[in-house]
Amino acid sequence: MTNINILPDNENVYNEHNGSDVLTVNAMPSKTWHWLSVNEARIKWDSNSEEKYADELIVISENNKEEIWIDDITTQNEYNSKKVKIEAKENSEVTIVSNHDIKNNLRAFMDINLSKNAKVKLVQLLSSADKALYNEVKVSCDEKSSFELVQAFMGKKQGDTGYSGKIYSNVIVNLDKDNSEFKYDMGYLGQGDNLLDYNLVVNHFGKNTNCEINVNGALKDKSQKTFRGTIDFKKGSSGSVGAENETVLMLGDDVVNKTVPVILCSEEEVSGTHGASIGELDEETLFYFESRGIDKEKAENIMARASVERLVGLIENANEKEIIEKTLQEVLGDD
Amino acid sequence: MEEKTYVEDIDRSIYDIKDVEDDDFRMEEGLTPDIIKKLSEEKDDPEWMREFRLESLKIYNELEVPDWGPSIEGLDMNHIATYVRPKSNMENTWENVPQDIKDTFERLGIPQAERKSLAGVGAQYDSELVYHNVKDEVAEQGVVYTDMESAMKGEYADMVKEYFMKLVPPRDHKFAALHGAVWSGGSFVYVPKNTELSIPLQSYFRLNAKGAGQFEHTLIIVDEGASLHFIEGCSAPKYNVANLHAGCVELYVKKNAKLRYSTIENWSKNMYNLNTKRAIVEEGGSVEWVSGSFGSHVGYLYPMSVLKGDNSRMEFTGVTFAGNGQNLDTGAKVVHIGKNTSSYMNTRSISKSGGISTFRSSVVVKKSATGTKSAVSCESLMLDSDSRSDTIPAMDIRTKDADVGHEAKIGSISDDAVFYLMSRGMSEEDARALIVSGFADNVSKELPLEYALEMNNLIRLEMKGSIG
Repeated sequence: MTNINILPDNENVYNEHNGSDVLTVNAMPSKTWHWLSVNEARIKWDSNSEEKYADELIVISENNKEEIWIDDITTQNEYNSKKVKIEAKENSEVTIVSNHDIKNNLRAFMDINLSKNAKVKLVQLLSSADKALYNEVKVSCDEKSSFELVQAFMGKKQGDTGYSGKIYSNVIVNLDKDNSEFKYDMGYLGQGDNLLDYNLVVNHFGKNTNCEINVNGALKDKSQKTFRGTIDFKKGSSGSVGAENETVLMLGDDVVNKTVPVILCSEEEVSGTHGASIGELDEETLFYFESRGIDKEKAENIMARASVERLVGLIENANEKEIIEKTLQEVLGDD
Repeated sequence: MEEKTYVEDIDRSIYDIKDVEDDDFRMEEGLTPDIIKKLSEEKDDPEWMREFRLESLKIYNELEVPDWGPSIEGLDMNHIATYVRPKSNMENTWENVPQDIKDTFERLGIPQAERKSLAGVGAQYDSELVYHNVKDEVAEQGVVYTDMESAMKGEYADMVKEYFMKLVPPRDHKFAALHGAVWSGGSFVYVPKNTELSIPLQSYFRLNAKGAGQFEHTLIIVDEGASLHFIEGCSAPKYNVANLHAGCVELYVKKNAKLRYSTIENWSKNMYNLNTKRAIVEEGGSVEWVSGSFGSHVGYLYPMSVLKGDNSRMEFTGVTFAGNGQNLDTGAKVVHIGKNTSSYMNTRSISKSGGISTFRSSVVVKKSATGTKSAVSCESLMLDSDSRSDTIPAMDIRTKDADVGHEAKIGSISDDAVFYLMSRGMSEEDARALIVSGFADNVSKELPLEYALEMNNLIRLEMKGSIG
């Protein structure tokens, strides 16, 4: 009887940067077994050579309705960071579209404050060919405010480097006051050697708060993805509802998928659910495609693109829709 | 303001009766190489075991206390007696067991259960087995059911040496190392090829000594084509100092063999239950875990199944009930290695009166495990807002040819359901108790009738209270 290796194969992916120059990010509020390597992520980063861009403050006045496009952040240095703060005043409504198609390593921070009855929709397109992107969004929601986040994560091919970008995303939403709500739609497509590492924490503090989380993605080739999603019902958040759903399409022989859907609960009168479905294209869908003359490979490509392209349907503004479609086309190509 | 049902703590009178401590030998408290050597001497270990214990102690001192689960600050290893030998040799006739120990087990219903429905029984009191018996017809089938010490020195010595702590190596975690250093007692079971046991074997563990630890080792080998149902029960009276249970269960399920391992754990609420259970399943074999966790102050318990062989499978069915002063971190782990393996976890957690229950799981599907099917379903019930219920599942999937599903729900008892039952003449207390029993029926329907009744009684007692 020899010792059995029960650890996941090649368990060094997340510990490859154990040097001194390391950022620890995407920490889960509740840890689990260390051998699973999901409690946090580590990024090799040279903070000394990081260029910090000036902080930007965007204020949406009371009762105003606005649309804001935050374009590519020009990344000159090898390491860069940028912080944007958004104040959505009472009864204001704003849609913000930000596109991070990075050329160099970037840390992007966005702090959003929603006052009473404010509505904020943030659409983020995050793509990287061979660099590392850390994208952080922190949100606090006042009474009856509503925050909607649409995020697309895509690897991108650039010359001979293939798909080797690393995207880290950390979203923390505090539903501080009563009747505030959060809706999250995320889509991703991992290809080549892409590494996609996400952490989402929704803290329900107020009464009758609501969150809905939908995550859909596809992994091809040797891409790796970790999704940590935490719904935390704090004491006093009675009447709150949280639902989380994740679907992962596994399309490559060497892909790695890690999913940690967490519910923490200190309040009796709440309802929390989460579901995850991980695997290949199911037989029914495949049969549907085949009955229309589309073979398995083509069907898989269609479904992989659909994980990200479905997000376009969530954008109302025609102009924004067109720009986003064009960006997706550039990143996803014609396959 | 809406009034709530006040739920009393469990009536543990049967379990809480303390016997006067009249030990034959009680090891001095603490953990040092000298204490380990003395323990090894007391137990007349073979040389390899003495070395194994000392090496485990070294590993124990190197490893950190886990930082991801409930606090175990109240546990001071310098004040735990690791070995307490009762004044009794192991007997195989009930009459010869000392009267006070016999009374304890009679109160817990062990001999009655043996007469009625078991193929064999082992009863451990503090650190040693005091009674072990197996029915003649079972022994005639070649089934071996004995205490670990006898197995280690008798004709199964080589087998024990080959398998002991190979599945749960001392380096696995700090309390596995502790177990390796100070283990005593426990059972050894060997079921020969193609032997089917139609009635279960049972071990019952009772920790009577104050401030002591129980570290029994259970080693079960179910050979090719054989099948076994093993039942384990645990209890202890409550003291105002910490007691520790760091047992270890290693299950080897060979080709096409079947093993069902059922546990009703009802340790007292000063107990730190840091138990490790693991099964390895060969081709076509299956392991089924049925687990009820009701007792303990702090519990870390996650039976793990390693599905090594092709077409092997596991099923875990569990219920955890955390009341006042309890922090129970329970769940299961599975590692899929073989092709076309399948796993199913189905758990329920209940929290009340400030109790904390956490469901923690991991599903690891290795690249080699093509054709894997895995499903996890966990539901949690919060009975008041002083309590806490967390769900922390993790999945690590490394083959595309897998079908992995997960679903979890957390919530409270529906007022509509209570109202419906009350409109049919039930009191609110009975209505809530019935709903909770129904909630936990995933486990009770998997247990033999006697145990299902005991479990339902436990739930009823937990739910019994006055309407405030």
